[in-house]
Amino acid sequence: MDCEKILNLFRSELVVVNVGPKLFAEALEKQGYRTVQVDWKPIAGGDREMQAILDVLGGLD
Amino acid sequence: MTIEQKVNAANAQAADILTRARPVWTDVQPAIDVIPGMTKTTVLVPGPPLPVEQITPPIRTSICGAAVHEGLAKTKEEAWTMVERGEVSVEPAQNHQCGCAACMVVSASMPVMVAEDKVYGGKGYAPIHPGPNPKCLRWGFYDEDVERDLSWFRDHFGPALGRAVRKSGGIDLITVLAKTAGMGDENHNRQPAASMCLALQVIPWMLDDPDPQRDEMIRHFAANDRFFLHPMMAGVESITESIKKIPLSTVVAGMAGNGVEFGIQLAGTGNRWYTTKAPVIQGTFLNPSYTEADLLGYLGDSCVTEVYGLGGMSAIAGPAYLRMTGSTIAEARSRTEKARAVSLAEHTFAPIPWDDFRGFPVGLDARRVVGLNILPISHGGSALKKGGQGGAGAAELPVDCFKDALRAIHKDALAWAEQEG
Amino acid sequence: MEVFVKIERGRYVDSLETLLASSVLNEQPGIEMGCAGMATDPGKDVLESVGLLTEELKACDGSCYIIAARAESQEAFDKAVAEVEASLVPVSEDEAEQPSYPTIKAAAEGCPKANLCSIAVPGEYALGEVKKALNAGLHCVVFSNNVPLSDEREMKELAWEKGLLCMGPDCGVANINGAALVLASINNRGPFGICGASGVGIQHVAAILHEAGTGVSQTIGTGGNDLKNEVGGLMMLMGIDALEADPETKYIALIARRIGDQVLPGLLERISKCRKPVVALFMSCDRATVEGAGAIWACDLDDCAQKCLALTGQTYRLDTDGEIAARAAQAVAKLAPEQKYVRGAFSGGTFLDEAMHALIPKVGEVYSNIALRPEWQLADSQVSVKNTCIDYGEEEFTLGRPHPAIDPGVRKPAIPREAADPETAVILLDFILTPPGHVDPAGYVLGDIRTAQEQARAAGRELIFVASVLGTDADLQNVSVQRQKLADAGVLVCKTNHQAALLAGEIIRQKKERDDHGL
Repeated sequence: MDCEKILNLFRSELVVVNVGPKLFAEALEKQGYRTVQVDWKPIAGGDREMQAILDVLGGLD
Repeated sequence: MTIEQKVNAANAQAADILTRARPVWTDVQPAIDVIPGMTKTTVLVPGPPLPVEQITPPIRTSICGAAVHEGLAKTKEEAWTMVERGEVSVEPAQNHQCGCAACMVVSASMPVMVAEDKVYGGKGYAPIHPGPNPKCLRWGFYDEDVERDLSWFRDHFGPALGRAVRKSGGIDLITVLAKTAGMGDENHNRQPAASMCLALQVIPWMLDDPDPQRDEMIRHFAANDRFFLHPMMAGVESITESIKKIPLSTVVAGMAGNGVEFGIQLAGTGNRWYTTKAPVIQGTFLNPSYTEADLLGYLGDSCVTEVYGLGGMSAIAGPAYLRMTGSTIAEARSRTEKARAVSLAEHTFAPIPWDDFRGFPVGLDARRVVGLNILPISHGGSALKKGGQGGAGAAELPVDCFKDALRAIHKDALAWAEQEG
Repeated sequence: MEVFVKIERGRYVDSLETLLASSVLNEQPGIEMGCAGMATDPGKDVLESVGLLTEELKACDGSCYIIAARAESQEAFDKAVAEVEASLVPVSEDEAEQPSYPTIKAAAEGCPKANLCSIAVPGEYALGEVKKALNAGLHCVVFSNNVPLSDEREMKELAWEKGLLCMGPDCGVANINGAALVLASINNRGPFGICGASGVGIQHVAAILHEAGTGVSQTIGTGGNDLKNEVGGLMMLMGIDALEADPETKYIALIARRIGDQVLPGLLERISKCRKPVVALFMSCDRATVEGAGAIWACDLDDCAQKCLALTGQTYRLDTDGEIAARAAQAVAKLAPEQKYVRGAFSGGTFLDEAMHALIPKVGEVYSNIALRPEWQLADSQVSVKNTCIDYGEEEFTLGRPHPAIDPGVRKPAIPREAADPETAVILLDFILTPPGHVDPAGYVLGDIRTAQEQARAAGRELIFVASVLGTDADLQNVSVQRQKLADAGVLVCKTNHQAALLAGEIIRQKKERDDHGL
């Protein structure tokens, strides 16, 4: 396998996108790492019908 | 091609039109002469369609006032009977590419501003902003004074504005927005800079107008710092006409409230409305004795400016409006960020200096609104149940109409996929 | 008292926060019993179990955030709700300056230097978010559990295709570039690269390496299911590739519990081709198989760490059997005749398993909620039988609550309950340190230990507490400080969980010997 991207990560300053509880981002910041937070919410606020429709229509990158 | 790819392509086309269109205010003409489908007995009203019996009192007054103004009836009571009998046809203005702000309605003889999209060829319409006098048809009032004003607009101000703007060769609305970028307008509820910029371009062409009331007209025009809203609405309507013809697009192409319901239109389904209970505008009251109980739900077509990325969509461009409505800069920023999260494109012509020179987000994607559960904010003035403006502020757009719209597109998409095999 | 509810449709509050919200709610005056959370099916089960599931709440779905309580009055409820809301406001002062983004794509665009995405969302949503992160070019560490194996396979295949790490799902530990991710400890950097399917296993080996004065280059947690046939060990194989290619890594340690029969041959083949020394702790493999692939065989976590250290000529001093026996003898002398059993309360499955394996040869059958044999399965996890070890990281305890390392409250009822049983001789505990964890897990239980001991003494008994602390002196809680706190409270502190279990087992064994001989 081509490990170039992984080695690149190992060589770079770690900057973390945190998806989910802020606790994990805060823990990294306490260690001196940079984080950016994604305010994650369940797709369509948990509405199953809309989740099924959006599975078809897409658009949520 | 998958359904998602098809929808993405349709949306890219809609976003392309929204960002590349060039709306120009070109003319002022009587509604019946220019608005498609307009008849002598048509009254165009704001918002999605509503059964006659549910029409709110101020809109009822405006419709009846317009009918009396047109000579269709002698009294408001007689006019309402005609409405109930279907002799006066009440139709959503946006279905005719016309935008009626607040409680404004448009009837046959009323002068409307004409905007043309010079790139895609669409045309849009809007009545002329009545000026600072709170007692006007636009806020659901009709009496002898209002009739006098309407007649003056019809017989003097409208035709004179038409002559001036024709002589000017048309006012490029994008240029106005570009020139006033960084002047603090959010261009839905606050547009003094754009109104002045526009007036500076039009007034020179009015100076030699033959109408003996010329000076009074110029005085009226120059005193109205909200004037720009209405040509901008006409401009947006000229653009949405072109995006309402893109099957399967989930981009919002129209939205408005009628005081009872709030509705949106999607590019993929043209003039079809998806409605739900109208939100009430939260903000400040013009009179401390008013309470939320005095207010109607969201009312008016002026949020077509949000369809184009103005107002609440780019709230950070107009921080003073947030202050005025009891909100904060942080909230302004958050409104714009929310809009960016659910929009597909960004205008480049009017960068916001204090927002890293970023542009207005445009092209609301109903998929993202529902999927990310991020509800865009519209600015707006609130209407009192008894008529008149109650206050100003903002409302979160209700998610249910977006969900309904997605159900419709989903159905169309499945049909498309079946056809494609 | 009457049940009052507040329902907010479309608001999402993560379980880590609803837990706090529930605690705050229950502390409010006039609230008899309250619960805050999302109205998911498991959430509604909790409501039902405490008698708060009203018809109105039954009709809610997972898109609703609800607060329900049996309260004195509407006024008391409203006041309590206001307190709960206030507790949810982030405490961070520079909150306003911290940009947050609605989507991973937006975050990656807004912060082009971002290179890793830490994902902890409910399992059913993990695949979607991981795909977004990988498509945005980010390596992933995925804490989410309960992810379908087919989803895990899909995300790992995409990661493989893109040459990006996908650590997890169900990854509890990873150390990248010196950062402790998820529930890892903070470690010194060093020449050892670890790739493993057991979070606590990685953390344990890394902690010993740290304490021995060396450290880890990178540690890659693959998630507990990576080596199942359905997933194919994709991340283990990528991890080996990466550690082999990484110039900072001189030695590789691999840790796995059970390896799928279709996965094992490929894995062994890969190990046999590895150009760097490999120490392998494969709990389901015999020594010959591991050594046949050219790897150094390790029998348990302590051994794995020792074999790593041997590569650099170092050792880590553990207690000998003799020392353990001597320590046990001192403890046995304090026990009353009726005290016969060990009761273990663990914060995760790896240490539970390890402890039970160490105990069985000394004490015989060990009952558990996750028993090693069906006949040792506890009928009720709240009622211990003879020698019992309970995993408080299991869902029956953590439903709607975070891992015990984050919230030691999950295990709080264990000490008083076990201590009250006159047959309890030894209470065996593990403590795990991690940056997102409790700031003082040892300090958290000292009061309970003291109270339990006082009550036991009043009844003429002396309880023996045996514990180990997993972590390092670089951890924010500092492993030395945590150990000292426990030791000062009279707890017999051991260097590792395995040693703690051996000591506990030895105490029980010697006690039984003494009893059998009527001494």
